[in-house]
Amino acid sequence: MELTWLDKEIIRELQGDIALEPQPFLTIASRLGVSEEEVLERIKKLKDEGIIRRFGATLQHRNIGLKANALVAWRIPNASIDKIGKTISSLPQVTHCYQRTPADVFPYNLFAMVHGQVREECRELAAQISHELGLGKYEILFSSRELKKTSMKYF
Amino acid sequence: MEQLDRELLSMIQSGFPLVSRPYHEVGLKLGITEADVILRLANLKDQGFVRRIGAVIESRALGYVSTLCALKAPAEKLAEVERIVNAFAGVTHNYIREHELNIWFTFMASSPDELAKGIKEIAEKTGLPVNSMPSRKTYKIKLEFSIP
Repeated sequence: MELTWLDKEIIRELQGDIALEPQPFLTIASRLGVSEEEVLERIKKLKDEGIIRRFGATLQHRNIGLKANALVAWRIPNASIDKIGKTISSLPQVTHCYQRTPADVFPYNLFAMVHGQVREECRELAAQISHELGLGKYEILFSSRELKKTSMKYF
Repeated sequence: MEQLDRELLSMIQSGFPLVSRPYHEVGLKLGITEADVILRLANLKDQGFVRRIGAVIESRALGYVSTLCALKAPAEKLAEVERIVNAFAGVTHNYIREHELNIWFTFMASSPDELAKGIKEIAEKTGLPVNSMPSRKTYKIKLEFSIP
């Protein structure tokens, strides 16, 4: 999709935090010198085209009680990795799941982010996944401190 | 957290109404007024439950490339490494994890060249090897939570 100047300005506005006022999109439209309708239309188009992946509230998951965050990594043969990746992805506690190029010092190719209220939940889930899918050895790395967490600023 | 707040947050993680008066729309679904929705959201932000309300942009659709990096920082270098890595705008998430490889960060750039340059710069400035594990396939990205 070819982005117009308006698309870029809208992305710039929406990559932050919209206003908590009755007509937040009108506020944006006024700033950009266009109509509220046009802004809403562009947003819907950006969403349909997959440029906006999601529009809504981003929660601070640690503060809502999900204090345990683990990166779990497995080493899966190529023949079965897609199927395994999709299966693991169906679990609600898994927010991210990727096939990655392994590093020499970390020779794993399937990565999942698992969240829970306490670490034991994540440990149990990882063990359950590995056991039921016959995945063998895995690594589970808990985050102990968040050093940076921002949303990328495009444009 | 009040049950009503829980419902409110569950509703707007992804189904935020793209209409002229979105908070009014949400209020209709929950049986409360627009003002109440706005007040509740202001509170939820103040209390640190909501980071922001807006668009999550698919960086790949904009031509960005990204990777996950890990490095092993000795204890005495941790603060310095944190400072160096965090200074890059393309680093959006950076965590200490409990492993020999103790610093894990995501890094994105507008081109593969920029990405490689950035990683090289981090390696040079920290004096540590940076292990980059780019994604080959994405099975899931869904940062939506069931609120406990």
